[in-house]
Amino acid sequence: MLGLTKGQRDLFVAATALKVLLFPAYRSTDFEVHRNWLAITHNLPLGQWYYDTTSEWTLDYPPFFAYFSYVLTLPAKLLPKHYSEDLLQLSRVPVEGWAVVGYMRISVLVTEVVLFWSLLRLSGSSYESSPAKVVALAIAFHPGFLILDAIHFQYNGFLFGLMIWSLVGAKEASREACLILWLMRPTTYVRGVLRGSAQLQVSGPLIMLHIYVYLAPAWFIYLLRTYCIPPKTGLTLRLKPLVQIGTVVIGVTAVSLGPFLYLGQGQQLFARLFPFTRGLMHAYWAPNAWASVTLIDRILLQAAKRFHVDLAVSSAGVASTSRGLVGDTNFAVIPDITPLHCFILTGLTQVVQLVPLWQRPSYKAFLQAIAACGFSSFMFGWHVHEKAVMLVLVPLSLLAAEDWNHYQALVVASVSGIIGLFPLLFKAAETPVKMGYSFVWLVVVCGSLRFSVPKPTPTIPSHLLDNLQTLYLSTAPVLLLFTSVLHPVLSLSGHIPPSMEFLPLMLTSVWCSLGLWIAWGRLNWGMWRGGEALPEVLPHHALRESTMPSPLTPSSSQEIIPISPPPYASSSKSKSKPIASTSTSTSASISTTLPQPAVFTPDSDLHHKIRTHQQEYDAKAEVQGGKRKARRGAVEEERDRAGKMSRNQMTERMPYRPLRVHLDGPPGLESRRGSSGKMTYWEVRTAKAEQQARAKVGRIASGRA
Amino acid sequence: MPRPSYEQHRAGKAATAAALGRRRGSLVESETDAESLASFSTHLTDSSQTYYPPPTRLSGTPNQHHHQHLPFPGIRQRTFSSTSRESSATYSPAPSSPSAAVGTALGVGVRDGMREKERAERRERREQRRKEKERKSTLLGDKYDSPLRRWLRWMSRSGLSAWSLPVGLAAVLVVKAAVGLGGFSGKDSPPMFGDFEAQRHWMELTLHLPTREWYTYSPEWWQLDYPPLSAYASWLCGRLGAALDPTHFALDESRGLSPPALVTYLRASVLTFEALVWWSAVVAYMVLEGRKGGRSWRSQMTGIMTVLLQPSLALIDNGHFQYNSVLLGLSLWAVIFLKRGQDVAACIAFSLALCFKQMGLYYAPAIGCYLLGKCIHLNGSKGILHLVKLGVATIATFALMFAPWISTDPQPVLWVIHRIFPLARGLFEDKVANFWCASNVAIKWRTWFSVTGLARSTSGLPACNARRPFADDHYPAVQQLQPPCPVLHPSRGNRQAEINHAQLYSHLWRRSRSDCHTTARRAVHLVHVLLPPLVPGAREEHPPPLMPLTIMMSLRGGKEGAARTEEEIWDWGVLLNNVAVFSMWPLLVRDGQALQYVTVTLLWNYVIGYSPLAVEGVLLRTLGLLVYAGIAIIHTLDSLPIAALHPARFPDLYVVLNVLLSFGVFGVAWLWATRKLVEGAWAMGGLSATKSTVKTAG
Repeated sequence: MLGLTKGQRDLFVAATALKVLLFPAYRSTDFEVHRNWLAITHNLPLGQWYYDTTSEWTLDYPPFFAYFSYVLTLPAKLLPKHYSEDLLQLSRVPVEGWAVVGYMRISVLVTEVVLFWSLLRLSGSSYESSPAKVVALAIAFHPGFLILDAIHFQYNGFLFGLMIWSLVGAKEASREACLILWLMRPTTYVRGVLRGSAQLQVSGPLIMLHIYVYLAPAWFIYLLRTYCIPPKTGLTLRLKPLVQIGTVVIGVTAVSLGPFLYLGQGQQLFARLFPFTRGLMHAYWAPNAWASVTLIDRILLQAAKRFHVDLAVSSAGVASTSRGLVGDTNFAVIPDITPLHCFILTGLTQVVQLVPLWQRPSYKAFLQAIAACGFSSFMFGWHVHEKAVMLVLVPLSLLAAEDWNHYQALVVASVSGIIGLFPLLFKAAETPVKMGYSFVWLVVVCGSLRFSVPKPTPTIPSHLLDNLQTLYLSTAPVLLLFTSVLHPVLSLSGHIPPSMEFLPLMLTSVWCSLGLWIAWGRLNWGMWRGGEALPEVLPHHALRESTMPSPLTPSSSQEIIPISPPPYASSSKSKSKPIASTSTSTSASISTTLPQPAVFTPDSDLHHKIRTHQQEYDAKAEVQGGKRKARRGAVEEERDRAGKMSRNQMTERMPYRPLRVHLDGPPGLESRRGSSGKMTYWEVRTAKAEQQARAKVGRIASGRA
Repeated sequence: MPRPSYEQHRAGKAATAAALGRRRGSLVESETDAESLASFSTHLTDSSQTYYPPPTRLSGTPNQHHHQHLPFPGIRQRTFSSTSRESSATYSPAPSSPSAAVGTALGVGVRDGMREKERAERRERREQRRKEKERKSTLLGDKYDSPLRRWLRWMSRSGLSAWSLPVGLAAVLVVKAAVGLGGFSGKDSPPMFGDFEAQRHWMELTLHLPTREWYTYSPEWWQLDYPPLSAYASWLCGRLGAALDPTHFALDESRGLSPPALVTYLRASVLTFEALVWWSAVVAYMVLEGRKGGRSWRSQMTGIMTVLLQPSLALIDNGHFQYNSVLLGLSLWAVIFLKRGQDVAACIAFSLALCFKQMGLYYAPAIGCYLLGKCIHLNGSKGILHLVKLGVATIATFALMFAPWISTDPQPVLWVIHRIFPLARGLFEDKVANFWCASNVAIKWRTWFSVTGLARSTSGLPACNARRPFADDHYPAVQQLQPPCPVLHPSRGNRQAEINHAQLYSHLWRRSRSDCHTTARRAVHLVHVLLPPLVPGAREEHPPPLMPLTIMMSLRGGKEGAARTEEEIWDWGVLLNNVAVFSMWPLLVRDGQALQYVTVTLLWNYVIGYSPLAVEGVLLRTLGLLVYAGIAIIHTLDSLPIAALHPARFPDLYVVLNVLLSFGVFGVAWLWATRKLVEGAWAMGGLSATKSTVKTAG
């Protein structure tokens, strides 16, 4: 059905049923906000959209969101008249009623389809249990979206759908060598539009919701490096793509802002969109850096009081932070933070994090850059709302299947990010729903990813970090028990004074900010460690049939290493490749004089091929009903091939072993090699000895002994 | 001789293999097999000099194998390995080889053809058997495929099998909590409100009053009419709730209160009780049954999720607001103890169930008959001892429960019993899908009979029991009229046979592999199946009678012999569940649970993979389709805002239609259940249970 697999359909149906059951759940004032925007766009002409103040919930999202609201009013006109009039009335007081609620909730469900669709596109045709599919489903059914959209009421699913759509464009375009030709070729028009959507949607989400501004630098650098200043050509600027991208961006911006600028409402628009009068932190502290800073401030204040240290304590700060629920935060000991500080800090971190993308504009680096930009702006931004954590979680989820480090980052960021969202639903009725759903999601997603992401041999710091993280995560139940059961019960029964009302909120944001610090560190570590991590399990045939450079073979890191695809994937290719070539190439390499200790850094091409192989392997596993059976099938097939080979070939051929190959050398060596990637003394020695032995054999063979 | 290219070689191989449909790898296996290594042919192959066949053969006959290098290829070599034989049979000699020509002349080809045919037939049969097996398999068969099974399969493939129970329970929790977000009985409907207010009022009343006054306080406002255990549970809830906010449970002043915090608290109390009693019982039952019946963990999980997601209970307990799950859980615990042979524990559990809600009495005949029959079969002093044990356990439990009201004066206890069985409340209160209400369309029972007289007569008629069927003085009559349950037959015959029989009987529940066991188990279960038509007699307690049926159907797909019966039970089970939910529609729509009604019912049917079109029996399929069509029509007509469809003369038109349809289905299902019961009893030993069971035991 609709190109969905059965499993996807099941998930979709179950999640939709749950969201329908959640129709009568708690909804925040955002519900009335969005309804009011529907009313504004329906009843008023364009020129008055940003001036209307009938309700206190004025329109303060960018113009594209206003257009979106207007589109949402269109189906309402088909409803019976008394319903649509009820729904679309401009009123000062909130409008309730089951028809209004039903319409708005259904509009969320329907627009969320964009997210599902773009995720389907992103995960491509790969098999269901492959990490890519798991990641896609993880995002589609993220508890964050359930909490924010289905209960709290917003349109995040739709907006993130657009963002992921643009990622689809980026991913598809990145594979093509010739990028801009689509404009001239009518035949490739359809694909071209998809490719062009990468550019188009850069600006799409931005203009929809301004919190996406934080991600803009990543898109900017990516497009600049891929299209305008590709790394191959040095630093020469290619004007044509620049003009094209510029046209698209300016065009979209013109469509969005143009009408309002034309009407001379620029200033009003800007004032509505960027209200800098708000404080450093939202009412409830978002779990970011400032939450930690506030905690430190509190601790210092207490310490100063206790040890009678004479610190310059600001009295406003003492009053402010103790409540924890205020809009404008002043620190008692630490100097106050201004928007400028936040801006500089965010900008600096983002610039630093964009360097890898500049150096190597690949899709993965792009994803990393998006995650990092979102993360930094969340951590250091001015007046960050806790909802913005989705900007972190979604790109991180996309990266999670890459390697162990990113997987661990996802686990810790998801747990603390989702727990950080819990206080949004402050009523007890939704507590079982939000916790139960998050539990199911975490177990299913993290559990299945854990089995598909290989864990490298731990080094001492990584081992320590993993264990610390586990320790940190194991305190989550305690926190939840306290904030959602113990504290309400004790304060209801009068054991906790009402002045401590802020305690659960403060604990939650401080605890969650700690987790997000860990994830932020992991993400940056992953970016700067350099090189693309290889999966630990290399398919056996890749080793057997490729001319894999031994440490003896001099090879540049840029060399593309050909690998034949798996035998059962396309047997014609593997056949055409004479198997004996392996031996010839090795014998050729023997004659080289001195070994250049070269590190084997596989190209992205190899990487891609390995991925493809794994996906095919998984697909095969599905057909045969289970991986174990597939493995057995592979063995049988291998035997089959052996039977059909000649004796000579059989003796020449390496015995089949489903090896776990460690490209960086044997696993024991992993820890000995420094992060620099140079060969250790031990390896050089082994290589030398091996070369001497080979030379000897060669001498004997040629009769020169 | 030039070497053929490897591509040619492989193509030839592939062509041969495709032509013969040979098993993959058979060639190679014949070589590596220990058996064929010892065989003559392989030996010769190894000694042959040239391995590669000439290219001419390649182009002509695609089958190359080392067997063709035998010195006398026409002579069949005997090997132990079937694969070797197969391959040698496909050999057709090359024209260039003179010895091969001899072989052809000897007519090997003809013989080969015949063998080939036989082999093909055998292969076909084997394939058919495999397909048949696959179709019947609950793991692979399309018929059993459901989202639930797919999810469980995915979980175990991802290595998360151990997590499927916690994740499944969390999912159930989410769904039930989400149902609880909707309306409840008597929300914003003064003056009397509904069940929610009743439960809250009982908490308030038990909290503030001495025990003696619980059943006598304020007769004008929701008087306590459930047995004592229910009252104790109310007290516990009230105690905890008052610790949070005493105003919610202030005596007399809190009537009609339903602030969100209180609703959440009471909803949470239902969920907690449910998880502690009902969920644990379901999990324990499925694990026990699964272990005995040799069912996989996935089947057990399927059963657990099927039962726990059942819509009726979720809508009544978590939506409408009641504590039925405790009654069901305790009854199920009784059944579990019976299955384990722990009769005393079962007695205690079931007495507790009865002390929680008197609707448990619907199960009492079955459980009573079973225990009594066991005592009779144990015979002599053993039987009497057993009976005494059971009696003491039951009486002690009841005495403990009723302790506050027991004194020299019998009046309080009698008053409690009068409160619990208020015959004065009439034959039926609301429009419910039972015999009395359905036939009320034609016959006005209530005007014909005085209330008590009718209640007396109904209690003698177990087939058409109304609500509160078991007036205490008529209880024995019900037992006498039980259907022919073989366990009730006193054993006759010589002493040895009696002992054998008694032993068999006492072990009956522990044996897993005997047919006798299966039938006996089914017989006792089918006694429960009897109950559905009786049940809607009560106000809205549909879930209790559905429970045994749902439990039985949830472990779908059984061994060869039992498969057909189990299929039937499954189909009937889903149909009855759906109709039961439908019969609750008028109630639910009043509670503001319409959305939940639609969503939860559809979700459950989707999740368990039910399709009315896939039902096997033609009769049942037709019935099911008709019923669903009727339901759809009634719902559609009811919801259309057209004045002509809602005549003022018949305000309850659709409710009555609902009752008639539901009662019809319940009636047919009751007949089916009785038939199944008789069949089961007959299979166990006809009218005389003794002889056949003794034979089985011998």
